[in-house]
Amino acid sequence: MKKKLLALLGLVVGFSLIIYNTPLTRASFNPHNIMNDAVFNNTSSMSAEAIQNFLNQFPSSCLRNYSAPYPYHYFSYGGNVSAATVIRRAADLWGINPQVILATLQKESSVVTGTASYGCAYMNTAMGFNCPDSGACPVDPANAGFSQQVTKGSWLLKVATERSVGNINWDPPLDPDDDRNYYYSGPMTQGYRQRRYDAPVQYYDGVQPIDGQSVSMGSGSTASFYFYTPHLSGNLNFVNIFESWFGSTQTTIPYAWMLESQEAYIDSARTKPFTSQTTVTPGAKIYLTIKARNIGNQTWTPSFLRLGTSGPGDRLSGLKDVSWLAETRPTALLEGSVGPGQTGTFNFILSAPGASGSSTEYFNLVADGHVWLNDIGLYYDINIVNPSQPKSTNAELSLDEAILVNEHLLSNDTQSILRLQSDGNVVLYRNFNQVVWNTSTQSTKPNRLIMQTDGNLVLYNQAGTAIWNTGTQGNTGARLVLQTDGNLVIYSQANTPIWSINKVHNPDLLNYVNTTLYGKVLYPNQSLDTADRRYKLALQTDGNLVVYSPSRAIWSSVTLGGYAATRLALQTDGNLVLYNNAGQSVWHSGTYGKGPARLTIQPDGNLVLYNGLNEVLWYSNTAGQQ
Amino acid sequence: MPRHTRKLLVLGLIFVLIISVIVFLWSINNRKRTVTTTAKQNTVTTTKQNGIRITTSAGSDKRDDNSGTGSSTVPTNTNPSTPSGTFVSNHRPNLDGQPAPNQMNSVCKTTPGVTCEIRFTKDGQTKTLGPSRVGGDGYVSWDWALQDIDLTEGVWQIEAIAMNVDKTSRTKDPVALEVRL
Repeated sequence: MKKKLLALLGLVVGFSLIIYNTPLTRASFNPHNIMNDAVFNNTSSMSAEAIQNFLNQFPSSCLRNYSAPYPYHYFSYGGNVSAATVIRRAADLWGINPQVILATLQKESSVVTGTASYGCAYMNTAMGFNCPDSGACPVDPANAGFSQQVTKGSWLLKVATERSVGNINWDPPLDPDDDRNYYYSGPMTQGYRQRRYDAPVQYYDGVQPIDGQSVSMGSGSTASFYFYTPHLSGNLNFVNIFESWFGSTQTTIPYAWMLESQEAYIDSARTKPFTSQTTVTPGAKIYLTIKARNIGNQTWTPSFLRLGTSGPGDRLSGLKDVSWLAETRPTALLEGSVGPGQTGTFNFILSAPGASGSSTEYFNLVADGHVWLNDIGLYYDINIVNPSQPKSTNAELSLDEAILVNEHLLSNDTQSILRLQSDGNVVLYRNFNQVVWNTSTQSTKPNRLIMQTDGNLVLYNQAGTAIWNTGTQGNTGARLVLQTDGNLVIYSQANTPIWSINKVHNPDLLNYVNTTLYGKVLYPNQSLDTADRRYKLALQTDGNLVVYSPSRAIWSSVTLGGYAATRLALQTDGNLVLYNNAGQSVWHSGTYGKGPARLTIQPDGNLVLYNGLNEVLWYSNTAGQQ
Repeated sequence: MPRHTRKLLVLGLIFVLIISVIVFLWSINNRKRTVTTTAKQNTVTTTKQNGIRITTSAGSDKRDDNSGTGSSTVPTNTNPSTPSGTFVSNHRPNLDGQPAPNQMNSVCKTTPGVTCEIRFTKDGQTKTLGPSRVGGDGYVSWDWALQDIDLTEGVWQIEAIAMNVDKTSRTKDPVALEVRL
């Protein structure tokens, strides 16, 4: 619905005041999923007292001292009570989140903050209920007044949410009217649905035009919000208000986070980047910064929001630095306060131990005194090499050269690494984390992998027993090469290949495979990357599907907590679907019936779903975001 | 009772019976049917024309949405509001109903009292749903089958057109209707 027609001056002043009084955050507005139904239906988010306290923070609020008739139900009203009580009652009557009511009131008439130029002139049409999509809003006595507006507007939002997901029997017990008789004419989510109990069952693809765009109704409340306000801008405004006040529209979790970016340096001036291939000397320091977005619905402060060692939580760390707050707390939130939707900073230092070897340390955010936040699997892998020892950073081994435990060969393009792990397995990794080949010798006590002068590559354990070899003895002077094509080859002295793992990859093909998903499934810890590795689509272990730019997360499915996804399936029908452990869909692209399709992360950072004709079916709208 | 009077009474009863039977048969065979459901504060009217079920709702307290004013009369010089709604429930139906159903639902939401039609065009051909009058709650809804308006295989562009005498407003669906065999 549109707001009241205002005089131009009033509009400008009012809008300025709204901006001034409403905390500005970057709303994660997804037109296909305005709100998760769990958030919409979270009736217990605020008590009447909490609503009153919330209103009290706005000095000009039209509602903080307002009283209106108590709604017994849709048609019957009693004596005057506070506006907070009316809102709480409407939430109870229909089973709707009172925060949705507050954000709708602000969106429609700004009565929560009372900062519009027209002040509190529109209390009679506060929820915009019974206001046409265009033109002025008539003051209809049957629907006028704060209580009727809140009660009836909330009812409309709720009944639309229920019908759009196929619930034709929704009929709340506190209302004597039979809501089953209501004919719902709004958007539907995908599936077989009835507009009313006696209407035909029809199949809905869940897609309809909104402001000239094709929009998929990703949840019942999304359909409901478009029913209430059939425009993108009005619903963007709603999400902005909701997120700035109450946090994510996608989760009811109080404390949750998403990694925006991370930086690591080996110097305090922060000029020399630390990468997973960097080796440091014993005692060296690594300077790190993590940017974390608050996607829960509670505000963070440094008094309790800290970075902790994890895997398991509160593990004593071998990388502890003297700057840490405590044994298991490297640092606290840098900013004084980070509200829902905002980004916080964590600066901390890791100190390498005095002996050479490799060390992996896991971290997570913790709300001390409350709960550990969702674990996104943040870790740092550090190689500590004593300069006095020979180090193997070459791509070749020859003439009795060896790599010791936790040492490696690195291909000249730095894309492949052959490592002798402390568990005894010799593993060839590509792209830093993809296992390409291994000797399957784990659970041994390794000592060295040596290219013997007789041409045989042999893995010895600490007892001096050969536990694996290539069987290429009799080739004196042979050498082992880790090539830029990813292959591991032993060449004779005459440069003839005499052994290889036969795992050649074409760099272009590698990129092609990694950037695109064809009718397959992506599991947690798997990703699609652009050829230059600047952008990444990752299905995280916390169940969130995220697109990362070089510096931060630029899109996510916000499938966390009870909606955590465990696989991303590109179905043969063309629909891209995130499923949870129970096999339930927690997010989808709404492209059912358009398959087969392919999903690709493009060099410009846009995640795009194409059909067989190379037509765009869906995209993340993240092109060019840094 | 005189015999003549009794005879007239019997003939009268037979006449009434025949008329009742005719009316009954007419009512079940007639192609236009109207069912009005009146519940507390809610009135929904369903009409059937040429196999297409048309549903509207008069102004009521439990309003259909926020686009209607409750009034079904509209001045002749008023531009209809831009149509919105679910113009087709499924953009990829199959003519034979397999695997996707050939039954559809369409909704046009605009100014109460004006008429609205859903227009499908392909290669110079035009097929339409409606025009039908929009009820007081600001919508008209059609339940129909592809065969009802002779939609054939191919890609049909979709447009909703609201009309009030000589004034019109239009909205195109960015996704076409792809009818498959």
